Amino acid sequence: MPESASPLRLKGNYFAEPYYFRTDVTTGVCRTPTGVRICTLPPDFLLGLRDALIYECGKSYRTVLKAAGRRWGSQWIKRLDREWTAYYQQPFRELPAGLIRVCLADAFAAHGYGKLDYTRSDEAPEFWSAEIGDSLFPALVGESDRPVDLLMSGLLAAIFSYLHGQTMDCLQTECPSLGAERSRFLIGPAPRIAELEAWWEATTPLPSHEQVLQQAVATQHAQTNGQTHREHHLPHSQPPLEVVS
Amino acid sequence: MTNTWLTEIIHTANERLFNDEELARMLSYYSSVPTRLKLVEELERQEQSLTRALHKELQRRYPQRTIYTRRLAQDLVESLRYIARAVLADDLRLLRYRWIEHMRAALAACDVDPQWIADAYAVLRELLQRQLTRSVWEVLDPAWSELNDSLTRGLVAATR
Repeated sequence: MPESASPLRLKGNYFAEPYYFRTDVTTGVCRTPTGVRICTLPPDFLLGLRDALIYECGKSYRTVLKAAGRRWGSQWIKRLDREWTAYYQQPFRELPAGLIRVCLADAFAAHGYGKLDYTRSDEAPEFWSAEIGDSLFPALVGESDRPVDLLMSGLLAAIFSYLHGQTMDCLQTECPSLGAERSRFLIGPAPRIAELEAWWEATTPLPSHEQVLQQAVATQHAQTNGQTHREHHLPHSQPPLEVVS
Repeated sequence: MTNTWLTEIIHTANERLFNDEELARMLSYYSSVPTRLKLVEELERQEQSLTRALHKELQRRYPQRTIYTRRLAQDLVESLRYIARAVLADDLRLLRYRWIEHMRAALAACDVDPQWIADAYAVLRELLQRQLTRSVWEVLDPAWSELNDSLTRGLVAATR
């Protein structure tokens, strides 16, 4: 999240209202207090959707499902931003980073997506490690040879992109369907995640989250050193680099 | 306003009579409703003056703590609404879900010493005690104790 020196605010859990999701049985419509319509997607539907995508798209179902998560996430975070901004009476993105994390964890929990937590990597500050306990898809799918939390990958990528104002991507590194305790993700700038994903796909056995993070740090160091090296060897005739604002 | 324990009793007693224990709890609750309503009314009436007084008093007592902004003072006074709801419903779970758990997590995530918030609530308590009648304070006290207990360092650390 963008680091903010904004003063602390304490407003309580926005979602912990009795009947935050209120169903009007006469119309058959469930809405939030701000009037957003909510519907329940049961596990059978989600599994059916995943099976249909696998059947129709083959291996590229992974890309499709992640893209769906990304589109969904970009709308979801915009809605939450509006609601939280009204609730706190100040732009949501200007709240302290820790408070944004707690608000997002509250939102995940209230919507039944699991228990979200994330931290910024000390070694590679452009990357974030996120984890979701009791995430939905791994619980539904059971065992698999690849991580299955693709919707959440897309969702997290969209949320971080929105909050950072730059295109971020997300790589799921650990998954309960592969025996892990919870889903873990690495989130970072899209080109860097693409490099890491290519490395991750080519590595056997699949590397752990820590190994992926180490690889991210190593490639960052290599890039930084390479850049420094190039700068040291600039030909004397080359004009100094201009700063473009 | 939803009284969760009362709703639960009514739901679970759907096709049977209420038992003695349930009836006793309901009667005891209804006899205290006027006092609870008075508390809600008084808190609502005093919200603005409490915010001003709390902010001023916090700045006077702790001038070095920049965390005590006017907005935070307002947030803390507004948290009395959640306390009032929990008191009105006689159900502290409402307070825990809506306020306490979020506050503990937020303080831990923002690396704020919970003692600073406990100090602010202590000042707020002093201000309230001057203005609330004893009977009203008595119905407020369990919720206030719950809030104070949650602000101990150990509990905050445990949520990290």
